[in-house]
Amino acid sequence: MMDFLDELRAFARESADVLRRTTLDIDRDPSLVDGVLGGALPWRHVGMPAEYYPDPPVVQGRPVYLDSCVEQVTVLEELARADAGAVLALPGPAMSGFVVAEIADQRQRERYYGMLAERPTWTFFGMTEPSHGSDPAGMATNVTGGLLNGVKRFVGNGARARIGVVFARRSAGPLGIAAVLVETDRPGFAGVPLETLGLRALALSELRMRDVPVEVGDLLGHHRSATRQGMWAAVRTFNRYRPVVACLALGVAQAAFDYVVDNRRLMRVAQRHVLDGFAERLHGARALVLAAARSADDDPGDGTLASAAKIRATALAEEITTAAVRFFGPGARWEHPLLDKWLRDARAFEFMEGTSNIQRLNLAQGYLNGRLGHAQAA
Amino acid sequence: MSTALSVDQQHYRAVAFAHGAAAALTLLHAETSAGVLPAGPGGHVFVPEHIESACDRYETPDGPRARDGAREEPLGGVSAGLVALRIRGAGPTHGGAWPSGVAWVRLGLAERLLGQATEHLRHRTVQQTATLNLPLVRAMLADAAGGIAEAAALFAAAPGSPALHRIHRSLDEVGRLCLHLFGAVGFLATGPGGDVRASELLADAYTPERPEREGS
Ligand SMILES: Cc1cc2nc3c(=O)[nH]c(=O)nc-3n(C[C@H](O)[C@H](O)[C@H](O)COP(=O)(O)OP(=O)(O)OC[C@H]3O[C@@H](n4cnc5c(N)ncnc54)[C@H](O)[C@@H]3O)c2cc1C
Repeated sequence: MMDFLDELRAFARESADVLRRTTLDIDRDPSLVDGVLGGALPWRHVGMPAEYYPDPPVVQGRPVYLDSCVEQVTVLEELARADAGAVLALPGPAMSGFVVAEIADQRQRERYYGMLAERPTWTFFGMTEPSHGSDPAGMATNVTGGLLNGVKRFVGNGARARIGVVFARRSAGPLGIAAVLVETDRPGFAGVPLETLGLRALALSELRMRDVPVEVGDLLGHHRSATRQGMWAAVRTFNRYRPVVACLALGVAQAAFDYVVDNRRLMRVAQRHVLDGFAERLHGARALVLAAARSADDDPGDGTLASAAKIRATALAEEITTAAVRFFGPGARWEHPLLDKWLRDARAFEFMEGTSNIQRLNLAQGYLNGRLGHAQAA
Repeated sequence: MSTALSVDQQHYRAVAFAHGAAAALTLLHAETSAGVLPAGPGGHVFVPEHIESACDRYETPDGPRARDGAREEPLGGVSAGLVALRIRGAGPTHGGAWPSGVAWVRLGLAERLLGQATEHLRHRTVQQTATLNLPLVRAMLADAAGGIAEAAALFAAAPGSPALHRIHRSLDEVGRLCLHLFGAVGFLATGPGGDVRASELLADAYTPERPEREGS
């Protein structure tokens, strides 16, 4: 019998075709996402726990909930080869779901997953602020006296979400950051879409919170020890989501590569060498992304391989999409709109879940801590 | 074909640096192609909106020709105040000054963007340190500055279209580094991200075709 992951990949590849048909339309008009994507894919949710998802697709007799990192990188890379923006615009738990899964109490789980199970619902993960991206500890958003105040920026799906997680300071120091579960229809909460160059389907947004009422029951992990709450869950979420971002970058890179192979039949020798080099790197990056996903499933506390995968897949996506337009004549960015879209999309991955510099710092530290495993001296 | 990288076009660099793409292209157009839409080797035109609406002719290898709507196709989207068209039969005149002028404009734009990125990071902090002073950030800044220096050196040293190709590549690299430096701000459609896109599209439209090398 075919290996399970190979069959899952083949199933996802077939499913991805529907996304190809709409990719340029959604890029022009991101509001089409709602109408076009509803029910188009076999998965209604990405990352819903089994008890809230009674009818997931089945591959080789196994239900596929897409709740492990390995399943996600396998399936989402294939979907991203058609449209990475649409993948990120799928309703469901996405990043905030990781936080809920890690630290929510039973009532919070019921509130969150119950709402998502009712009907397709977008969620958000609000960490970045206008003045603080790579340095979340500097955040100014705060919860004081039962009121949430602050601005979050560059938050995916923020303006269309019904519920999500806002990170906010409750007290000084690294343990003073809380993860707050908030519905977006609370008074004082507003989500405003931002116009972006790429991944336009994602509806990157700004969240403005002014005296939004919150209670103890909204603080995720409030029942746990102080060291196992907000930032602890955020770090584990990044470790699990970075392989996913890497797989999306890989999907975009592979799409651009395939486009060149399919549309540029007559090539100079030098061009063929360039493509051969890219083919090898795609292969290598895919192996690394899978290894990172396995590591994240085994131990979400260790993000060393996740950082390695993200650095390499992101660089590859930028390089291949940049090179791909050069295989075609003048004005290729206009003459080959898909290549232009992939080039614009590829540039998002540098920032999602931390820039390459931040990943380099993680990776170097992880290496020094012996987390990559070393050859043993004989 | 040799396109001279003449030094007397230096002022386009200065205007692009000080005022951006639209201002520099307006000056370049007034001095080299007044009344005529400049076209690249694929028949693409990418100019400030007011130039597009004011010109009644377009460039072809045999000299300017009167515009005729039936030959034109707008190419959607405006970037940094520029609009794009494709005109059937349009193309660059041999030895025209527009392509090298565009390269000078892009050099000034790259310097402008790097200056803006530097200013942006001077005012951001990571744990009380200015982001601009972080060693990894300095490394990216150095790579970008190196790309600008290479382009400027090529302008000074080598006339001809191979140099023009390398200048554009080098400036493309600088643009991408600037995007990394800006963080997510550079991913927004307006602001520096839109300026980098416009600069890249200028290269895409107007870089002369590279002569094929034998045996390659
Ligand atoms: C498409 C997209 C989706 C996103 N989705 C979300 C989301 O859903 N939720 C959310 O909260 N955020 C989201 N973000 C924001 C993202 O997390 C931030 O953009 C990212 O963390 C970088 O922050 P910044 O943009 O403020 O850049 P900055 O932190 O200002 O970085 C600027 C430059 O400085 C460098 N730098 C910064 N600190 C260091 C350091 N310590 N060492 C070395 N170099 C450093 C960076 O590498 C970069 O080159 C998204 C961004 C994009 C583009």
